[in-house]
Amino acid sequence: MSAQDAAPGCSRRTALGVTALLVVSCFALVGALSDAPRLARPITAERAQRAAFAIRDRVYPFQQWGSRAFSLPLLESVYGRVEYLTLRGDGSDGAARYRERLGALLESGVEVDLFLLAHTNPFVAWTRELAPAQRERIRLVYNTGCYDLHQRDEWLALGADAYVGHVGNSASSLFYVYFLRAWIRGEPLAEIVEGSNALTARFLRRLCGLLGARAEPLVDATRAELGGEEHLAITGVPR
Amino acid sequence: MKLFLVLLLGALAAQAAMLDGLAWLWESAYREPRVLDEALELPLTWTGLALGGPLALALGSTAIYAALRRARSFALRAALVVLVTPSLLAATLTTHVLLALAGIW
Repeated sequence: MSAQDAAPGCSRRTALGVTALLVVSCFALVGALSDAPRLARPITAERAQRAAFAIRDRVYPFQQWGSRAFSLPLLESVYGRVEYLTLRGDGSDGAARYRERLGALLESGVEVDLFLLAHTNPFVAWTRELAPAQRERIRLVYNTGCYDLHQRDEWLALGADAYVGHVGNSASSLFYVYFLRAWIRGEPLAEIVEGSNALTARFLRRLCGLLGARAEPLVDATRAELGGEEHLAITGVPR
Repeated sequence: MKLFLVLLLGALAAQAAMLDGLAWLWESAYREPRVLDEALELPLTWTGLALGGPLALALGSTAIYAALRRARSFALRAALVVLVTPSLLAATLTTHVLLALAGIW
């Protein structure tokens, strides 16, 4: 028996086993509370042929930082070009900056996916000012804004291929965490929306259960709906 | 026991450094005027998450191993493991966030 094996506590093997079991249990708990690890890897093929534009409205610094820290690495992993705009100051120059940066991206000739990370927002009106030829290159529009599902028809009329928005006063930031991670892995939009709705509802029900609050009104308001091309994936529409 | 304490305090210090550092980061980046170069924002975020995630996880799990090996009684071993568990859970959650940002989880 070695000197270490003569330690007063458990044997080395037992200590290692218990430690590993505890760490694995922690990961299992985190996975059960959030979601299981995703085996599929983000789609990097042909990334030069697509671009993403994300915009965050003026909110608390923590929210602005968190939105960028989450979105930018994931978007950059699967898009050839990414523009990320955080609205600052009094926001008076927001429309001009939005049109300038989105317009330049659309002008480059690639299809652009929009991620509108903002409370109930006027971006559809700002986009209307862009040239029709540019707007036709807008592919997906995902909008976290509360009640902004009502913009669906207008976005589709402006040229977007697909639109995802939320029904009511929602916890859309939670949905977005599931949605973006599935989208970059190439799943079809309809499946992503359905799966992300289910994961969001499960999380909200558990959280509200812990807090003793009613979950269903929030679950219903947070539900996202899809308009347009439901087979759209990050790689395009399968032929 | 000294090793256990050093490892546990190391894990807690790494997590405190992450929280403090990230709070400084978002205030520096998004209070106006911005005083942090935009190019540093994400690398510092990843560094912070690595401190409070994998590093704290490694320190916490090593602390548990040390407690199991060195504490004489079962009750003491159990108490020490319970003492580390909140830090271990927080480190696991942070590691999960880091893996999600990296497109792995």
